[in-house]
Amino acid sequence: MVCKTPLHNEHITLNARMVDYAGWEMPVQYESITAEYKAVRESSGIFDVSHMGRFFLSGAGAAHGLSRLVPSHISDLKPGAVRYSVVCNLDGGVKDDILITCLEEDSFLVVVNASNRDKLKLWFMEHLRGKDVLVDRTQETAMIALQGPESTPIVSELFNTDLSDLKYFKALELSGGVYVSRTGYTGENGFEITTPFGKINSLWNRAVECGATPCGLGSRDILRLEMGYPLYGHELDENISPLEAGLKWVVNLDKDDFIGKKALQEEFETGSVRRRIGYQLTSRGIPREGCLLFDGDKEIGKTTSGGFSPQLQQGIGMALVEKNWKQSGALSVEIRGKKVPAKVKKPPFVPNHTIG
Amino acid sequence: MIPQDLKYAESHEWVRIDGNVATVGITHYAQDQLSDVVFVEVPEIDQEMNQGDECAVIESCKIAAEMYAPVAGKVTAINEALEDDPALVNRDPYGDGWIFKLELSDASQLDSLMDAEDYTNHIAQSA
Repeated sequence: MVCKTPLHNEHITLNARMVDYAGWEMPVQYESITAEYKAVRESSGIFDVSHMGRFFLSGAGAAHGLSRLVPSHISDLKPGAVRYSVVCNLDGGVKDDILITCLEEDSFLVVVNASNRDKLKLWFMEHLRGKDVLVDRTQETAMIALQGPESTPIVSELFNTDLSDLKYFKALELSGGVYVSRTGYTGENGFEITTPFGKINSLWNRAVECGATPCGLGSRDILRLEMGYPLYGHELDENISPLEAGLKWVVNLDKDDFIGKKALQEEFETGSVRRRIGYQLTSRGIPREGCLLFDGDKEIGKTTSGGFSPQLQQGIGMALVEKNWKQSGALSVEIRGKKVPAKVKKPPFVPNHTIG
Repeated sequence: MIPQDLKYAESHEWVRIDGNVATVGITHYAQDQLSDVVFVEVPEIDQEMNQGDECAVIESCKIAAEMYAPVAGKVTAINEALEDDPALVNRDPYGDGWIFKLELSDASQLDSLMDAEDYTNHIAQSA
């Protein structure tokens, strides 16, 4: 069965094109992906991200339990702090990438990818001490992301509270079970708002009235690609370690035991097999997932995500390449049998405007 | 909405006939499905193609869509304006957004294409 978010009627009214995404009927675009992209980069856009899984972890020992599941430090998280991390399997591969918000001591909101929600719930249940510790509130809550340079006045208006001082990667609990965090997946200033199921519609509609452009998954993917943010199933999966994926900064090997530590420690000492790079085409073309990379005639890696950057007006991509690769010839990306010249470019591909 | 004077292929290409030359593009319906076109890979001048051959690639923000030759022939012109402004395919699919022209090698193939009325029914069924 395909799930619908509480904003489904709003999407239909706005003539959204709906697609099945990880078991959810989601808007891929409303008017135009390019216009939605532009709204986020230049003014403000609003995304329905209610399909993402929301786990509430609480009870004595929740922090300790969570800490065993992720390679990042958890014990230093104070109420109101948000942290990006991953969940690893025993081999150090990535089961999911997640956003953790510390709500209060031993109480956390963990936002997971829709496609990994069931898998991750089982994994958490298996490894947390008591089963009552995790409550999956995905279907009882909803979530929107308000993103773009003009999102601060809009979010402040929505809650009748000046939120301009909320720092990047900090969250605030408002009355009525509403959480606002200064986070996002676009590289712009922005907020993510989690509310009980019934409260989201009026927030969405008021944000649109205040000038936020409804944006779908299409523009979201381009925005994150320009930032070089990983997307699960592309830059990350069970066979890719966070070290290979360029997420060494979420791995704290000095931390007490956590799942995957042994494998990651070993990889850290002996060296990874692959690493993630970004590239930009120097000629016309659009790379897509799976396109091979060549250094001269030698195949050196494979594209994990690719697309067209509206800002650069060029094709850009991310790829996993051999760890020890050093460029000796001309870099190219094979698109439909033709080698298109490219250059290595360290993401973000365009300037990041988050307030961090 | 759907021009009466054109012929249409099931895969949503249109053909405008002028003597022995066919101008080829994609329909309004096709460009709407693709949404924002950001790149068009056109065929090469003098390239010969059979009916149904992959002949161009239209890339939108979302996907790369193959375009198929609605009739056989040899390419005589390509729309160079698409290089700088691929969104012409969105703005004016039946006019300035044409993709290429070819010299027909078998005019009888035109009979296998749909007229505007049949194409209207065809997209009604696709929707």
